[in-house]
Amino acid sequence: MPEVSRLASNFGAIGLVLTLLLAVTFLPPDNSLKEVRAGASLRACVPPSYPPLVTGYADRPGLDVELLQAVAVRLHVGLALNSNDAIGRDFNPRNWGLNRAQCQVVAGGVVDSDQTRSFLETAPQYAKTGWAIISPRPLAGLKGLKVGVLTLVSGLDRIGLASFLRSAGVQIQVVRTPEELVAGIAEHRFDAGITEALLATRLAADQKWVAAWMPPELKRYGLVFGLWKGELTLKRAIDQAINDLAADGTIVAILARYAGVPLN
Amino acid sequence: MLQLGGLYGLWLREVMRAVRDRGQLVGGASRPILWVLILGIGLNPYFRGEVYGEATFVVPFTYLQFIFPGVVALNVMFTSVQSAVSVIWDREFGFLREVLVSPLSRTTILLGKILGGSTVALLHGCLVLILARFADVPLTPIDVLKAIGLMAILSFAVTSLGVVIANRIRTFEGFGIFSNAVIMPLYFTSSSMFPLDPALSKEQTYVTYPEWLVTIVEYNPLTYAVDALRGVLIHYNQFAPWMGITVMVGCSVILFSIALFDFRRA
Repeated sequence: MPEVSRLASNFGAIGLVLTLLLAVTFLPPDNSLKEVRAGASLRACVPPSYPPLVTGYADRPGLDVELLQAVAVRLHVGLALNSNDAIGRDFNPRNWGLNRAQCQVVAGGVVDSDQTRSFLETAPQYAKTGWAIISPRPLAGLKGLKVGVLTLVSGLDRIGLASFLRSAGVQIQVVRTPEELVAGIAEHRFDAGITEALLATRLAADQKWVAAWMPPELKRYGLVFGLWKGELTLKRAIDQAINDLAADGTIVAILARYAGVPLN
Repeated sequence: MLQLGGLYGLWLREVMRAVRDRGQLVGGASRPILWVLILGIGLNPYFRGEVYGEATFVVPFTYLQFIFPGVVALNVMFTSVQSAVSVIWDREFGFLREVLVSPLSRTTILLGKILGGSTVALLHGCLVLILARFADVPLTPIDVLKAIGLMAILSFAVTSLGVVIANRIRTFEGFGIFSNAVIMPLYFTSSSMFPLDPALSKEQTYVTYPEWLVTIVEYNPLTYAVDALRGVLIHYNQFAPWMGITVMVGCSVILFSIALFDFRRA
């Protein structure tokens, strides 16, 4: 009996320590979620237009905006969009002037890369992005083609794309809008068009063309929402909301509405 | 068989003694709580950017995530060295003499003590892993297994270092002071508290930190142990991934050999 009581005493102390450490893991490390709930609104910085992620139209606001609305509903708060003209205007995000006071979430083309994670936390990926090519008919190769390139505000590697296309012997013409890209292909000024994958699938579906990923040398990324570093309680709540939306099929439905069938 | 039985007995004695030592247990839990909870949360805001695109250190993790592997190493180191104090304890109370006259070889006796201390240190390292959720360090079972492997090698090396110190210092007080004088500088100069930004060239690093500090960090073997743990726990290495395990295994062999040499002479 004394042996049992000694063992219970020894392992009881270990149990107490483990319980204490486990209890600590449930302490909130910051007030970010509390602040969002107190303000009853989730503020998101988005570009004015980056179809199909942000369209600027009230009836079809865009994939990212609809997804953020669904996340806000799950958090029991409203969604306030802060449309920022500077987003995507140049390569250096510092020049966009986004700060913590303006928004809690950055959306509209944030990709899950080391570079993004150096400045922001990232929520779970909800779609895949990368450079994709569209054309009226399947292409045998890229060499000698004349292509229109639409980059918009994408966080994808534009320099890598330019180097790849030069080395592949492709003639490039940069276009500014999806309409310009479609018109260029339809009028045979371009053999094909290259743009972000979700937009490419949407355009291809609308025009009954074919869309395909660019070769794997050009990296593909997960599309995510960016959150400020250290805002862990808000990140956990948004992660949970996105996982729930993925589980109940909401994300697939929104993706289908905006981007059509995902590329294989 | 006799040697194996003796090895097991000595190992079990060290482990059971640690289980009964409430002070050691409290220390093993309070260190990670203080370092992760208070220091990590306290300094976290100073290492993040307030504007997108601006950060002092352009690294894909938070400060809390950055120091987490360092705190694992700290807990392993403190417990390893504390375990080695049992050498002085055993010498003081005559237990060592009794063991030395047994048929067990000195290598077995030393190995039993070091493995026992290492096991306790490893368990204390695992205590820190419980705080992974708090520090936002997502761990897969594979990550945990790899971390346990690295902690086992680190704890073996540091317990051997502790035995080397204990063989040279004869009093409890002296051991406590000397071990702190070794452990704390080793820890603080192991890049566990502040990152040497891997994106910078050596010349650029010298602009951020004084040359002597960068040199100490680079020559500190613990730097590579912490880096290996960081590679496994937050998937980020400042140095080549193979360096950590190579340095740790090398230090384990060297320190155990020195401890054995001292132990045979004692």
